[in-house]
Amino acid sequence: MRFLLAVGILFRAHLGKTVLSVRTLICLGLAAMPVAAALLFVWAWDGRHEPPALELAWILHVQTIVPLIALVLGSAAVAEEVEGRTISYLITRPIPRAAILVGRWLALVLVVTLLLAASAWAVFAIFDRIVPAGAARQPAEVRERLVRVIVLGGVVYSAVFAAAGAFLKRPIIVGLGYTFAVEGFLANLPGGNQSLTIQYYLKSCLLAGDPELSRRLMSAREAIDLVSPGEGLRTILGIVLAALVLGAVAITRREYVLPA
Amino acid sequence: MSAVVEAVALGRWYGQVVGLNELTVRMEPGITGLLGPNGAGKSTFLGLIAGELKPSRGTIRVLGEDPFANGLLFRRVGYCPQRDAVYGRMSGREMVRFLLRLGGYGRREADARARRALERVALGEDMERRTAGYSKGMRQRVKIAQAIAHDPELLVLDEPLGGLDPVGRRDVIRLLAELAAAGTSVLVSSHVLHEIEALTAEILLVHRGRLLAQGTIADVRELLRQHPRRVEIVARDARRLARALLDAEEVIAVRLLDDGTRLSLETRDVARFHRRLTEIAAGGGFGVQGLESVDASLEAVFDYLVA
Repeated sequence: MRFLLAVGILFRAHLGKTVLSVRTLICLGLAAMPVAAALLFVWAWDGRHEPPALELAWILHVQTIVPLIALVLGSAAVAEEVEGRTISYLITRPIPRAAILVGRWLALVLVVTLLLAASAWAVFAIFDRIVPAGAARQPAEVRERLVRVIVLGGVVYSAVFAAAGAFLKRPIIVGLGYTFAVEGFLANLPGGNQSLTIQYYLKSCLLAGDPELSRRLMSAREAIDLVSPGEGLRTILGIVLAALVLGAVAITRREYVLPA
Repeated sequence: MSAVVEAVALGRWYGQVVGLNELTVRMEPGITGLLGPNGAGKSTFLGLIAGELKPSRGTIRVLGEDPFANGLLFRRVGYCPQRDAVYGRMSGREMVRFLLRLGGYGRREADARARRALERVALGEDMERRTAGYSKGMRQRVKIAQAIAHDPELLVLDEPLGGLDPVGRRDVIRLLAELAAAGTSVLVSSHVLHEIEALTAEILLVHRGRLLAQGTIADVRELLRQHPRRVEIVARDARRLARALLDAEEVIAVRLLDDGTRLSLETRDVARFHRRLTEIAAGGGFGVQGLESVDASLEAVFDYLVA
C-alpha cells in the first residue's frame, strides 16, 4: 500500500516535469524524423509505386526511433535524480526505494508511448493523403498492430533503460551500445541468435502469422522462425517485469555518492 | 541518557580515498556542531547518519537503529544535504509538500506543514515561486524547510549556513536554537568556527576522516592554546624588531623574510604576544606597519592539532 501510494505521488510529480524536460524536446525531434521522412517522400512521390508507409514505420520507428526515444527518456528515470543531485531527498524518505524507479518510469513511459503513437499515426495520415481515392490502403488492422508494436517497443526498451539507469552512471552510452551494437550484431548472426534480442519479440508480435507482411518487411536474409505473437508478447512483458525487478533491487541496495 | 548517534570504529572509503576512518563517537541530545575543514569527512559522516551511505566498516546507530535505507527511521530524522539541489520546476511549497507526501502525510496536512515550514525559514512570501528562480540563500532555506517540516526528532544539517546572508544566518541560528529548545536534537556541520560557536558549545572536531576532539569549544580552545601559532609582521626596521622580539618569552622563533621588511614568528599565546608587541613597538621606533595571523584559518588550526 505504501509502495503504491509512493508510486502514485512520484508519478504525478514527475509527469509534468518529464513533459517539460529538455529530454522530451529531444524526443519530440526524434519522433518528428519519420514524419519528416514521410513528408519528403510525399513531395517526391511519382504516383506509380505504393507508398511505403509500413516500411517506413517498421524501419524508422520500430528499429530506430523506438529504442532511441526509450533510451533518452528511460535512462532518465533514476539518472536524472542523480544528475540533479535531488535523489538524496528521495532516498531519505520513508518509502520503498523501488517506488522511485517505478513511479518515475510510469511517468516517462506515458510520454514515450504517446510520442511514438502520435508519430506513427502521423506517418500513416500523411501517406493516406496521396493514396488515390478508391485505391487499396493498408488494412487498418495491420496499422493498429504496427502501432501496438511500436508502443510495446517503447514500453520494453524504456523499462530496460530505466533499470540500466539504476545500475550505471552512464546509461545512455551503454544503452546506445546495446541497441545498435549488441542487438544489431545479434540480429545479423545466423541461427537462433536473434531470439536474444528485444527486436525479435517485437517482430514476432507484428509478423508471426502474417506471411504477406513478413515478405514485405523482411528480406530473405532476415527471414527467421518467429515465435507466436502471444509468446512474443508474454516474453516482452517478462522482460519488462524482469528489468523493473532488477532495477528495483539495484536502487534499493545501491548507494548514491554525489559530488558536493 | 540514550545516545542520538553512536558510531563505533566507523569507516568509509571511496575507492582508495578515505572519507572517514575509525570514528568512535557518541552524540547526546541537544545541538552538536560538527567542525572541520573542507574535505575533513563531515559530509560523509552526515551521509552515514542520514542513511544515504553505508559504512565500509564499523557500526553506526541513529536513535538506536541502523540508518541505511531505514524507512521507519527516516520519519524521525530530517536531513538537509550540503549539495545545492532543488526541484527547479517546482515552487518552494510544491517541493516541500511533495517530499512531505512521500513522508506519508495526506494532501491537506502536507500542504499545511509545507507552508508552516517555509514561513519558519522566512520564505512565506516566495513560496509560490519556482525554486529555479531562487537565490542560493533561498534554495538553502527550502532545503532547511524540507528537513524540519515533519518535526523530526533529529535534524542533520550539512553546512546549512552556506550561501546565507548575515540576516539569513541569524534567522537560521535562531530557528535551530528554537528547535533544540523544543526538544529536537540538532547535528550541524560547518568549517567556520564562529558559525558553530553561535549555535552551540558542544562540538565534534574532524579532520582527514578522523575525530580529533569532542567536547566544548572551551576545551578545544585550550587544546589549541598549547600549540604555536605563526604571525607575520611588516615593519620598516624589521631586523632590529626581530632582535627585540627574541627576548620576549612568548616568542618561540623569529625569521626575517626575504625582503627585509617582514618577520615571521611563532608564539604559543597570541593574545599575550599582541600585548608584548604593543609595548615593544611603542618604545622602539620600529615602524610596525602591519600584523597578520597567517594560520588562523580552521585548516591551519587543524594542521596544528594533527601535527
